[in-house]
Amino acid sequence: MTALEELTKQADTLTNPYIERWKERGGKIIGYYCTYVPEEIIHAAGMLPYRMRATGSTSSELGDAYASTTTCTFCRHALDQAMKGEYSFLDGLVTLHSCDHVARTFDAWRYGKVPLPDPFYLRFLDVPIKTDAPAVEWMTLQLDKFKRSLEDHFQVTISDEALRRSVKTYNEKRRLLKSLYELRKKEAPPITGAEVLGICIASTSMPADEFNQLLRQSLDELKGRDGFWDYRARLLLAGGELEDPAYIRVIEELGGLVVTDMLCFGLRAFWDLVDEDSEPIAALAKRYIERISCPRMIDYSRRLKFIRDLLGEFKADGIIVQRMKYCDNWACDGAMIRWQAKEDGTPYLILEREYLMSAVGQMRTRVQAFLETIMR
Amino acid sequence: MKAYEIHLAKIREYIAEKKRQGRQIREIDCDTEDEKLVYGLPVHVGPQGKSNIILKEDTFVELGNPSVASCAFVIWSDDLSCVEDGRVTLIGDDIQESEGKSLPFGQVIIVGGSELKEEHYLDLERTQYTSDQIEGYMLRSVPRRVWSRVSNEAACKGFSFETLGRALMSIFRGKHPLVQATEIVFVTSSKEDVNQLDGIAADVRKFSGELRKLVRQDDGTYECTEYSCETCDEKAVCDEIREWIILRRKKAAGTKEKTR
Amino acid sequence: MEEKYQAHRLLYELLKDVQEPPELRSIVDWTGRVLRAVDQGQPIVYNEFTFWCDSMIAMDIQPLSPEVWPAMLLAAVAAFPEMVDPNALASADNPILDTAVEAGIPPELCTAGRGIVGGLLTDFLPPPSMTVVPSYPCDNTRAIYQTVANLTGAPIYWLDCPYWMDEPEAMDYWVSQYKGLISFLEEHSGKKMDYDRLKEVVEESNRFVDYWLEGSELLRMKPLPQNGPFLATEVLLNLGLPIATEVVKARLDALKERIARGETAVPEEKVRVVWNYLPVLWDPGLFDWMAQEFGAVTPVAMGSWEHHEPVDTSTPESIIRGMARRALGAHMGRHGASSSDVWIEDTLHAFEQWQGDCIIVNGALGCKWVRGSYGYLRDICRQRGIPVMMFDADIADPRVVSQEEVHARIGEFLDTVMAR
Repeated sequence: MTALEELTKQADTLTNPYIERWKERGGKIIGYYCTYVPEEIIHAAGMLPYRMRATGSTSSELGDAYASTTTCTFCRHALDQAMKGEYSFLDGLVTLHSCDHVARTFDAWRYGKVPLPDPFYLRFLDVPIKTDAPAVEWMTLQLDKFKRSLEDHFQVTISDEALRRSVKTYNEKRRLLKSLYELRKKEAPPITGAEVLGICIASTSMPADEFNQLLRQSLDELKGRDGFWDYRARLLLAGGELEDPAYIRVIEELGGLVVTDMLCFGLRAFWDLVDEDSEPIAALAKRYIERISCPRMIDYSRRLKFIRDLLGEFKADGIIVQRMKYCDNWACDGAMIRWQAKEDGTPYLILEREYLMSAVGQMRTRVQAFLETIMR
Repeated sequence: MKAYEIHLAKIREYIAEKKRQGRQIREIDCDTEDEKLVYGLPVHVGPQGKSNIILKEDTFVELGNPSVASCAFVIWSDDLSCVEDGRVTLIGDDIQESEGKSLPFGQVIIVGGSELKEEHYLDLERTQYTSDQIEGYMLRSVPRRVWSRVSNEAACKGFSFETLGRALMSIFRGKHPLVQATEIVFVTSSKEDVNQLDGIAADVRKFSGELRKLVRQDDGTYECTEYSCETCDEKAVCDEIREWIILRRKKAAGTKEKTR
Repeated sequence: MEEKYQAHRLLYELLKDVQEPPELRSIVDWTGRVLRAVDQGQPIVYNEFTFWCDSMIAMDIQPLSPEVWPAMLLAAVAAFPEMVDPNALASADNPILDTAVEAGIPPELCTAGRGIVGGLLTDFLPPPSMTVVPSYPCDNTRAIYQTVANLTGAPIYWLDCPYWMDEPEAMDYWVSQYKGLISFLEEHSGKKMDYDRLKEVVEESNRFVDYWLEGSELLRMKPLPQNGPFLATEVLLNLGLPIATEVVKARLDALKERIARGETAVPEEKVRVVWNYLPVLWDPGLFDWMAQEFGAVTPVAMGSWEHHEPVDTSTPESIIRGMARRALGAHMGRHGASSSDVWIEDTLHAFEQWQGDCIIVNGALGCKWVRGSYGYLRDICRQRGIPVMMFDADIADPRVVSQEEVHARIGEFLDTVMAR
């Protein structure tokens, strides 16, 4: 199996042999829901950060008991998985107010609705929504508290040295992923959007050092790969939580090659680096607050400009915004992207979806029609 | 194990400091045996059976208006020797001396019970906000705040801080069978004195805030479960504190499903 | 004369001399002030509907809570219920909401938020010169107001509220946000905050809060002297102006007179309902219907159990700190932007204080934070033996769930409560 195949297949399952080996060695795993949780702090504690997904969930009856008809289906499925004990490999969970759905379903963990291993670490970070200097200062305080709470709970020490090493490791990961994205700027990218999403997901569910090694190998493999020419349009795919490469495959099978993205598991998670020369907690706070943001943050104009720049940089012909139904954050960002796209004359498509892929036929029809309008 | 030792020590030091500063301090030792707590009180203590609303025009004295100064908290200990059972300490003016005034108000309720544990704390804390249990005394309808009124009628009957103290002790003992000792400190001397007390309250609130971040049970209580923390994560604030034991792991056989 | 906002202009002319009910007076007064500011080209500041307007009043900048702009129309309906039939509203078009959806704002977003976007796009709503919004209560707020800023280009100031407020640093951060608000208002209005004037305004607001709290507390009486919660939209419209205080005092005095006369909300009170959300605005007769049909009175609702705290006005610092602290208790406010604990504890507090017999939550479909807490509240109520019903009813769009359906759901629930 090639390194590329090894990476892309990690998106297919909730856990993987890397996690199993980690646990066998007595390692701790800390789940996190959101890219505003600094993986570096968890890593520096000697633990494996694991980005929460609901892969493999086929129903959400248990989760529905603590959700409403207008709760995001990802959160419902994730809670369902939790209540069924599917996250038994975790030793802790960290989140923040990414959105009301995540925040409310996290309360289920706090209120004992989720069967938890003993002991179990739970933490809700107080991440600001602003990106100014006081917000960075506030974030620094919160991250320091987070670090110390991990130390206290697990009786470990997270030294500045360890943090610096972790920052380097994760920056390396980010650089490697950016190199991967550079390949997508080619007229004939050697990799599909679906494969890239698979790689990005792998980056959040295995030890960073091993991931970096495999990605380096994959980048070498891709040098020898023929590029994809037979597409009808180059696309930027934007939106919130999307963890199923099959969704992108549907688009790409119709000829819409996803050459870049503004996705939660994609570009937004890794695009900005951490300053390796500054005090690590402060540097982490600065990076995580000032990075290209999620719509939970209020710097919408920066996101819109970034999308406009991305479209140019990756020579994308159009933009698709996929939004999980009931996601308010992406509801309005989607509308603003639409208005900007109209103003710029950029073809756009807004797709609403649920966590489980359904109504694929309808989606195909809409994507097909969209690609026709681009007329590349 | 002794939780809140530091807070208790701070309260004792606070009282000693006020004595040194020459504040008017009265210490009333009440008989806490059975019904004797409420025996002879000028007002009825217990469910009132009718609305206990006291209008502004019927108010003899207001306590703890937030724009003046207001502070209230509960501390507990499992070491009964730390609690001066039945003691009501008043620093400042009494009710009868304060007609028409809006007094700064600090209220510290100290409870002791050899079987008390951390998981009882939030329920104890909630009890200080119980309303409509003391005739002529109304807690205002603002959540998580002790801001109250004493009625003219109650004052005429002789309502005092001893009355309030004994009533609160009775309520705590009635609601919490594990409470064996109760002590109350009231502060009305000045806004500055109440604000100083609020500094201790802030630490206590932070503690209860941490408890809230843990596991909440369906009956509204909170339970510390899988933590085995031996140190508080607020080290920067608690440098002078030698030892905090934040939480005890609760083993509730059969109530938690363990998966592995 | 400006052609826009004709509905408001018409109703203003019609109602500007109306004295009863008192709450209509303050809404009409506010509408007049907004229209004058528009016509005179004066700055208008949007204050999001959980954010009290006293800071703006102190700087003589006209506040306009955009969620409340349609309330002028609804208030007229409430005052003169014969003007509108809620059932007719259910089948009527709503061009404002529909325009927002056509523009790309999905229909399951909060109606209030869609109303703002639709209102701006249809010129129903005067645009802001600047906008002030806290990070609470919810995703809708944060998403919609970013959209407002995008649509209008008006500068926007966010007050970032921490999720956990039990730590001293959290209050310091929150207070710093309030101080930033003053700087923002100064920068974009060209005016300087006069702290003597702020003190006057806040002292006026303290008097308001005093009356408001007392009115709300009087509804703890059993039997209930007057149906319906003691709400006060003045906090968003003209808090700190004498008219707001006069109006709330008039309402309090009227309530006291009822009590003095021994009047009760219903001849026989059977059930006391803690209405755990904002009232259904398009059906102002709902609480009275419940009272008449079932003897079910509503002493309290979200919006009337707020943290009615007075502010210490001794120094500018104490004023700002007090205003910041008070803001945390605003209706919805931290309920949405903190853990479920805050909303649940306030619910239980209200249930105890107002001697409730049951709890009804009419969760608006767009309100993800409240609906996300349903299960937890349900479990706690079950544990404590508190009857609770959570049902869907949009507070501002009658087309979502009709009056008939609302009545049916509530009726069934009250029947079971009374049968217990």
